[in-house]
Amino acid sequence: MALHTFVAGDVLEAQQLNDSFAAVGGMTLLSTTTLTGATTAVTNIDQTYNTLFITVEKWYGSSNAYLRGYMNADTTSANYISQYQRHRVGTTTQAQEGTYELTGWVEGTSQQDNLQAITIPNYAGSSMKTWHSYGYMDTDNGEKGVYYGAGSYFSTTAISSITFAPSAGTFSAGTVKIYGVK
Amino acid sequence: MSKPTIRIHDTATGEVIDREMTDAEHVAWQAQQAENEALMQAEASKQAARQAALNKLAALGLSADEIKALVG
Repeated sequence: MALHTFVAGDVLEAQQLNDSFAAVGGMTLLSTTTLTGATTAVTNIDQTYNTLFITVEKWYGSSNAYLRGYMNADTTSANYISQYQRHRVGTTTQAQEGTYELTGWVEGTSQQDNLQAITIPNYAGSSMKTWHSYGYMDTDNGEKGVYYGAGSYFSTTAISSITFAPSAGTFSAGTVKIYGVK
Repeated sequence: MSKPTIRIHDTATGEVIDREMTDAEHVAWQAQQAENEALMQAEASKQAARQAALNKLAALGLSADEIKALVG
């Protein structure tokens, strides 16, 4: 990208700044979706970015649950592996292996604060897909904790949809935002 | 009994569809719920076994700091 040297009289407009930023590494919000039902699918994800950055905020459901993510509507557990560690205040760190858990868990079935951030690089490429995630929980039953997780989806197909699902029960609330990163 | 609903958000069009699961989707969802229940029970059993082991160490006279140094 060529550098521009400003001279007297030059005006940098906001849209130019936005376009330039988005072209060289900025994030663009692609979708905002309220989680509801047994599953919430975000489909036709723009394929022109390098990385997906996803936030999931204030989600909970009808049961204690982990947050799952089915890529391209693929619910075959053998096609995934995930590992995570979680540490709740006052307890020892737990390590766990799973499949399509994007990590993050909620305990309690009423309003609570939590945040998960998930990164999926090369989501539109032709190599195997991996993700990592981290988050914080402050649940309605007093469970506070942090976690870190990562996983793989054993597919070389570009990810064009992600179906979010609680591992048990149905969603009661939550917001998922998907950003594209150049 | 009605089946659970699902949401589909098409980011290309902005359209959001909420609908009841199809029969096939419902069968698959029920299988996943059962699979998860088994995993949760296995995890609970693992934690219970760990706590039982910690209790035995404490009963042997180890202090909390000694147990932590031993098993983390």
